[in-house]
Amino acid sequence: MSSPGAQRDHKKEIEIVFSMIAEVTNRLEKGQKSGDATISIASGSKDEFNKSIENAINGMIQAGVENNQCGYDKETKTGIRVINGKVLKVKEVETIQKAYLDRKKQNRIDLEEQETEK
Amino acid sequence: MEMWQGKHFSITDPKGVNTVIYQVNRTEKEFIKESPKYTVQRLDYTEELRGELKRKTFFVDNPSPEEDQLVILSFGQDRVVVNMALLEDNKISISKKPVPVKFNSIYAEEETEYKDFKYTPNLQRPICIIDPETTEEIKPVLYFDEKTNEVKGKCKLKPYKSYFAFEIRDKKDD
Repeated sequence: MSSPGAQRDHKKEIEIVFSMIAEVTNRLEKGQKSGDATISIASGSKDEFNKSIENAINGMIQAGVENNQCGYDKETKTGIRVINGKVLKVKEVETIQKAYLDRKKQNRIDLEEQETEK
Repeated sequence: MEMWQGKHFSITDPKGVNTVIYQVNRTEKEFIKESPKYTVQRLDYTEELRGELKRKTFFVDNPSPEEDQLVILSFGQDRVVVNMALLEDNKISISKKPVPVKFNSIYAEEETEYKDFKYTPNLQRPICIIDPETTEEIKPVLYFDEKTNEVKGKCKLKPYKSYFAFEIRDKKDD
């Protein structure tokens, strides 16, 4: 008895699209060979999806980047971020813990210590 | 509590789109001989719903003194849009600097393992595999390769399912 064949799924692979707003880079750095550099291809029609992504990215670029304070308590293994004076507890402690350990090694824990709230 | 300065920026995802961002890190000189030259780290974020839109704030908890390369991945229906950006001081711009990144769409009709990759001594890696439906990372299983004396990782992938992978290549890997 033959086993049933796999269902044909036309959407097997995910389409990878390089952003319309990224620049074409066809100049290689010294020592690189073709395929080493990321190439952004401006091709294909601008459909709704790409357009909305472009707007989202443009928005990010226009709004810019802001500073905040980061803090980590190695005793309690908790982290915080201070944004516009507001203290926010970090849920995904792993990320901030990693940043703390890397910066500690590099001697880049450079702000005044803060008392941990009880 | 010990403190330092980090950075953050926001993006608004339209309906049906889920953006995740990675920071590209260069491995420290003392580890570079036996480790991948570049590794990737997903940025933590918070999310705020605004009607059908999602405002996401991404945090760069360890910004470099000079500049940071970011990989912006926007997942939608069967598609991912890739943007390369540069974070310098307090602005983001689309990157003009080529970074040797390899992108791959993976699909197989049987369970597979993808693929042997090295870690740095502080457990960073150059490869990331993402479930495009959830945008969650597929967590690798770490093991110690006794032949080469290295910590390595492998990801188990389910059959009949699409995955997205990207890898920061190094000239010496070719």
